[in-house]
Amino acid sequence: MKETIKSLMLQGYLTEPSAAELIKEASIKNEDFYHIFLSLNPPKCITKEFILQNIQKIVTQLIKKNPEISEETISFFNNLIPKKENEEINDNIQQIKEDQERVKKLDEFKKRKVEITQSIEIKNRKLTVEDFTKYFRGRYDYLKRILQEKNLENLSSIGKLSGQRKNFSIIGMISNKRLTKNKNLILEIEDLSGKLNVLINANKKELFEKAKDLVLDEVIALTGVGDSEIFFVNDIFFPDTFITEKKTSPDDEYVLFTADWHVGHKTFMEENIVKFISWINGEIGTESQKEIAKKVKYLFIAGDLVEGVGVYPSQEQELAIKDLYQQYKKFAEILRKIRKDVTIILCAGNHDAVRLVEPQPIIEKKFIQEIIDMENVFFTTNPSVVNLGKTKNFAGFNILMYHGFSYPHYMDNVDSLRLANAKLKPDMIMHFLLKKRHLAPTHASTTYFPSEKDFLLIENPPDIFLSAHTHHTAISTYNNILTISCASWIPETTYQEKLGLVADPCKVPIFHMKTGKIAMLDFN
Amino acid sequence: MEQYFEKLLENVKKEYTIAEPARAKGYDPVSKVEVPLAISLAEKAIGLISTIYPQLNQDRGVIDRILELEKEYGQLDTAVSFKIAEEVATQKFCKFESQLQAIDAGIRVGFAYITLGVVSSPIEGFTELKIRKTRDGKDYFAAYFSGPIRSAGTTASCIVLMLIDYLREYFGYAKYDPDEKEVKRYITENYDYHERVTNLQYIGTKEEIEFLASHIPIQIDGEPTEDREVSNYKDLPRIPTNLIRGGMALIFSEGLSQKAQKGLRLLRGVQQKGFKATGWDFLDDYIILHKKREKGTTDTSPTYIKDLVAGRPVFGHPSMSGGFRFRYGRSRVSGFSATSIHPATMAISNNFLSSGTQLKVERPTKGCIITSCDALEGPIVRLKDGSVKKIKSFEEAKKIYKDTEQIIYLGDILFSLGDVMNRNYELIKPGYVEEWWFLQLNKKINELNENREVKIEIKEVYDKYNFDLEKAKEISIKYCIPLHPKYLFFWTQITKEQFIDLLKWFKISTIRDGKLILPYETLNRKNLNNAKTALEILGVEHFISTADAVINEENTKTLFANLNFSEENFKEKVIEILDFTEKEENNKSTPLIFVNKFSEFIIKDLAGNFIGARMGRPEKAKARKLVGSPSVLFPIGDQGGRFRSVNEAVNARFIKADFPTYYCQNCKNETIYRICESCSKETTPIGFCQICNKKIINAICNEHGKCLPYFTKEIESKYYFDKAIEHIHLTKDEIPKLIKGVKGTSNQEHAFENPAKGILRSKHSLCVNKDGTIRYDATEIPVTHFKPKEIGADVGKLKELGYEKDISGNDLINDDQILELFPHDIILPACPESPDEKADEFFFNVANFIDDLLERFYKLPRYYNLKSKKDLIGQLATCMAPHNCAGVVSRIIGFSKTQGLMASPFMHAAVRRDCDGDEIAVMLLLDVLLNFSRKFLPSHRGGTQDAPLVLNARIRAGEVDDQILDLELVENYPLELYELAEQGKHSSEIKIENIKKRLREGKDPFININFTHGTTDFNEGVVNSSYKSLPSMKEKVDKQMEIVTKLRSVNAEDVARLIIERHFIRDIKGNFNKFTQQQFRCVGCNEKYRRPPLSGKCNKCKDGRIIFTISEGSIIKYLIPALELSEKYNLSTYIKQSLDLIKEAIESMFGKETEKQQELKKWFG
Repeated sequence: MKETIKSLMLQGYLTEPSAAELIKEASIKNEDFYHIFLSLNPPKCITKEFILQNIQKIVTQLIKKNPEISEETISFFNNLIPKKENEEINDNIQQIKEDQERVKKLDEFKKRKVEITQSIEIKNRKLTVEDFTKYFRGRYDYLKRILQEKNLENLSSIGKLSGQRKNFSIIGMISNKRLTKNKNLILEIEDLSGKLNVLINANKKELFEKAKDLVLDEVIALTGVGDSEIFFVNDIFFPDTFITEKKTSPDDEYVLFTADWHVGHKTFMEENIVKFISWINGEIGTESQKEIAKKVKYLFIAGDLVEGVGVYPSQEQELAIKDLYQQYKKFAEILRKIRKDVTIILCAGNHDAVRLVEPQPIIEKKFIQEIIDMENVFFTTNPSVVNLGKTKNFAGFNILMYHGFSYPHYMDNVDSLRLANAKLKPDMIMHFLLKKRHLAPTHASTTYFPSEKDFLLIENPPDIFLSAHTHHTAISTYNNILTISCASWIPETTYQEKLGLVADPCKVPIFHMKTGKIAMLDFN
Repeated sequence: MEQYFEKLLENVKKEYTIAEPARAKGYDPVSKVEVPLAISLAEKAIGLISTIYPQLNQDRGVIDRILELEKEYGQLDTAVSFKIAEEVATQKFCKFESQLQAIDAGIRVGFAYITLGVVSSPIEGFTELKIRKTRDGKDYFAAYFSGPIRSAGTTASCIVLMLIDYLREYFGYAKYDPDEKEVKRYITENYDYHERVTNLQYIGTKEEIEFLASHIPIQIDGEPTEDREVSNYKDLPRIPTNLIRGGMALIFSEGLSQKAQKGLRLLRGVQQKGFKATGWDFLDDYIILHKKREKGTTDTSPTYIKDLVAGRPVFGHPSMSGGFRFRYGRSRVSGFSATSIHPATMAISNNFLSSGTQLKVERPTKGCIITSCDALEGPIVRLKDGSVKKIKSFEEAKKIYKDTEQIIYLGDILFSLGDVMNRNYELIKPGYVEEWWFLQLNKKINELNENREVKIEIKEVYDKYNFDLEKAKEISIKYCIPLHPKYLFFWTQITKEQFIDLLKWFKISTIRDGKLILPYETLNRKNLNNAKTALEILGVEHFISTADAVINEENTKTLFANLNFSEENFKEKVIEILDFTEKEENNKSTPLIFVNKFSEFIIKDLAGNFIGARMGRPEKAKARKLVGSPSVLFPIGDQGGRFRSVNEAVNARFIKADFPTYYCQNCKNETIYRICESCSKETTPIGFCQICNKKIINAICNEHGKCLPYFTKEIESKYYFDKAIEHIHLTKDEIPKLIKGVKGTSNQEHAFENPAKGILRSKHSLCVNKDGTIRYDATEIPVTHFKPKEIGADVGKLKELGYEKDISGNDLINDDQILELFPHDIILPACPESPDEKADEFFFNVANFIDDLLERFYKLPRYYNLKSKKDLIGQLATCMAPHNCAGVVSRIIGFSKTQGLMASPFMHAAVRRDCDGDEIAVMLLLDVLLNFSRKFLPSHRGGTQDAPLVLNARIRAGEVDDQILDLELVENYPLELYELAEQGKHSSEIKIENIKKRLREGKDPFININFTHGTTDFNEGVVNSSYKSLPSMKEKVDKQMEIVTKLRSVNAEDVARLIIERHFIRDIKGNFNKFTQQQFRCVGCNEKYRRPPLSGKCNKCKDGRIIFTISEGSIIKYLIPALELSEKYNLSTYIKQSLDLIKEAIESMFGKETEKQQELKKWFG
């Protein structure tokens, strides 16, 4: 195809003979090649080395552009690549294919009225400090936009403040917090232009109450008076999460929420789970209970599907099933018992066979192949947002599902939560975080991947916020958002007892989509 | 002996007379020597507490009273401390501000007495006594403890609780009434401390802690020591902090929970003397609970294995055959928690074990150090060609290690009986050894009333170990005693099946030239596996020729003697034994029983108990350096640059730091010195009144009283430096290029050293410690006897020092005679193989520095005038253990090739340490007297630890750590020991001559300390552990796995598992999880950031780049090695999967860094 070379020349590119040969062959194999190649910004004199160096990118793009690309073409390009890189490309191809399968399945799930609205693309690369900076900046920018809507008077950036005392507002991230000798609160507030010490007077009771529970790295707006040295706060504004009204669905269907199965642990309450499933399947219960069971269409499992291995020291002694594959096998076995018209949505927790770093991707296929293959089960990331029950006339319920690994940090470190014994009221922590509009605002409160887009941000207010991890149930409403904390299927462990956590096992919140009502089932 | 002490004291006083006029010149923060000489325990104790309550030291009232009480109740008796505490608290000797303060003082005095006045726990470990209200409104005691309580030791910290409660009862305060939450807080907090902060030596079960906590009559409280909060039970009204209180956890778990039994025993003693102390009666029930727990222990792997460290090999799983063979005895360099092994065993350990290396053992103690003794049995090994060899010498072992395929037996470990008795342990069964045999022989000779000639002959034969099999047989037959151990094999270590297979092998063997030839064709080896193993485990030396295993003539004879074979009847006998062994009714019998059945002789068990062990800390002997290795305690602020260089600060023209300031009336000048550097007149201090915000001469503000004794200011650095140079008359060339100072001083008054001292130190390449002294640290090794040639000392010099006779009472004439060490004398480490500076060079430099200091700085005559390192012999030094606050006078008498500070057990006991792997610091006495100042000590908690607050110039056997009381003083153990040990009886059933007995009988405890096992040269063996010479963790682990794979007594898979589980996984996971939670730091100014600033740049220095504190490299460092280990040793699915998960998690963060991994793959290639 001499045209390729010609077109290149017309664009001002010279081509080395050996490179020309390659380009020719490649273009024959695939027509998209030429355009993809050009998108790489090749040098004015195109060499064979350049093509070979970039072949990996080319192949990836080729496959993305045209998923149905033939094996033959792929192997043609692959043959150009040195052995080592080849493996990587194959991994990539594998990954892309898996993603495509997921997308396909997701399409099918639309028939079941389930959509994953916040999908997370997990990229890995060498992390730099830059990434962390960008991560925090990204969060700041996003929350700033939300806070700007609050009609703040005289909004200034910190860097532009002068020595002149005046009334103004700022939006910033808290980088430090301390009490003075006189019990006033001093915050160090940071925006992209600089930082500022702000003082919250202990005598302003109402304000001080508000400020007491501020946590590091959350983004807030402040109004008050001051200069570039110090700022006296009059009021604090939070980004906050709210919806205007509770939705109801036209469908007379039910949703069940569970989590923390811990399959494989010695104390996993298999009998209770079986009882629960028998009820779903309409095998047990009173007539009216069976009637409800029939209408159950969705089941959530918010992480810690299995007990896992190597989660904490000497865990081995706690395990009834020591092999991770067997744990998932057992889990699949139980799931399979559930009637197939119940759609099941799962995510990983801190015990599952996947990195702890949030967002947690989907568990490696090798562990859960059997589960993926089930027609009624869909795996998603942690956290994730799932839309349920969408029809022509109904927007569907948005459900934010987060396992809750960051919660212990807040129940230990926030005075009001600690004193109110939030360990037994996990919904308090959920409300607390909704207010901050972030699942783990403080650096180091969980382990996270610093991507430019902050996946722990609560971008769109959900209808339902679903969590687990504390093994304790709680249901309540915050700004019209239904907050649900799920129970576990193991009794209290010694570790939990030490932390002062109380398990509340085998309880299942059940949500009626038509009425928006929620109740609690007990399979203990 | 008395002469020795007197002479020593005289010399000590002489050095005081040198130091006093020097200090009087006023160049130091205080114009007199700040280390008081204390001769008695009472003086030390009161000296210590008077730092808080000076009124105690107004006259000798308290001291004399203590001496009186000692006469009444006995020295070191707990009752003395109770009584003196009570009398101080009732303000009998002096007044205090309040009753509470008086009680506080009483507690401290009593506590100081219990801890011998040598640790700072009574001033800093016990910090405060508070009164709180019980739920019905009565007053109770809350006692505060902090970290330095650790140095009191566990028993003393248990006793002090009882002492406090005694005073509570005496003064009529109520008992503490803990509620349920407070009790639970104790449980949670102790466990939090144990699991999250640092391992406690002992932690009770939940029931134990609950029981104790709900009954304690006083509240055990403490200041927070960690930044971490307890995990539960926070915000309790009677516990002011939610942070973890380390001092509380230490005294609660290690003191009270662990030592309740001993504490109660001592308390009962006090009660019997008429003291009313009833608050702890509940402990009887606790002890029952505690004992129940000990019995019910189901934990199969002991701590020494569980706490394994990567790079430090295991030398035996618990009691596993082939590990260290337990042997009773004390060599010249063991006892007092030191054990001896054969030098060849050191070499066969791949040089991991060296003199001074710590060994963590299964029993009877937890840890010990090792020394060499060639009177023991060495290892038995199988070479790569299948031959089996007993190794007799160090050199041989060194050569043979690389050809060794399996270490069948490691050799002996020599434990002193005193240590077993001290730990209150049941007797461990020793193998049948020469000394046991000889005791039996002696008993028979005495019973038979043999004449003197026979006795002498036998003794001679025994001493020289030079009798052959025939003689041994003859003796055994004549006196009807078991066959001599030299001619025994490990019959108890093989199974009956192996025994049968071995006999079957004998059946097809032949005898040629007296040698037993066992057919061992390559093709047939598989079938002979069992029989060959049996031969190996028996410890029968043999070699492999092409198709045979050959046992040499001597060993053949020995084997035949065991089995009652002869060349003629050999085959028939084999068949006879075989038939007998295979009989149904003998099913339950063991090989040893069969052998005894057929042998002419009594055949004893050669093995006894094997002791599991692993390597602990390596030995150490090096100069102590503060971080940044400063030469002078002179603040140079930020002007010193990255190296904290005084020279650089001089170039910077000024130094900004905190300085005390003075005013010279004569020159009308401000200065930083107490003596004006220009006119040499005394100056007046200037203070800073923080309220008036101005400087005040005389440092007393008319309106507000006392002023801050320092302020932050800029001084002209060049001026002061030039003055210092001028003062010591240095030419330009003589000024060292790099003199390192400190960034700032951390003591209360910001006292500092004259830079001239630092210049002189630098000149001699020396570093200063935080208290002004120069120190050398070394592992503690006990020694009771030495030979002049071992320590490189001339006979003439030693005679001068009082070593006139050897142990047999002969005049000292040659350097091979054995001398008994005096208690204050020390042998410094000068190991030729150590990479660190040797103590002889080091102290030679120190002495020269002191001479320069005297001459140039203080303008006094030189003192030491050393010409060579050898001249250090005879000079005085001071020894101190970490956390102590009393130095012990010592005298240098020589240098060893080891890396340990060798001193009498009394010396180690005087610094309250035994020899289980701790280190001791040595300073030259004159250095301490001249350069130490209390003013230099940091003002934070624990600042007085490790500083020579008093000087102990005389070791008294009754005033040192009481562990010394169990040191035995015999040449031979009684036969009864071996007999009782065989029956597994308790060590308390043995009576033996020890220090306790000597003191009770009023005999001199310092002389005629005997030993049971001699040694040719205690320097022989490995002197520098390979752990230290292996450069990286990679190589350490590599070599660790190599040696454990060779050891028959170790399960290598288990070691691999533990390395992964305990070390690698924790490390990888810890760093990985922390990666996204990490701190950040600025490259430019080192400012730390909890998270990176939004600006992306350092806020402090404005343009510094922010970097990680945890690198990717530190995360993946151990990943591949861990994976490789788990593959190579085929570890459990659980481990493999745990590792795989981590690997995948890491890859999901950082991608597959194939190249890096490739490189790491070379690890276990």
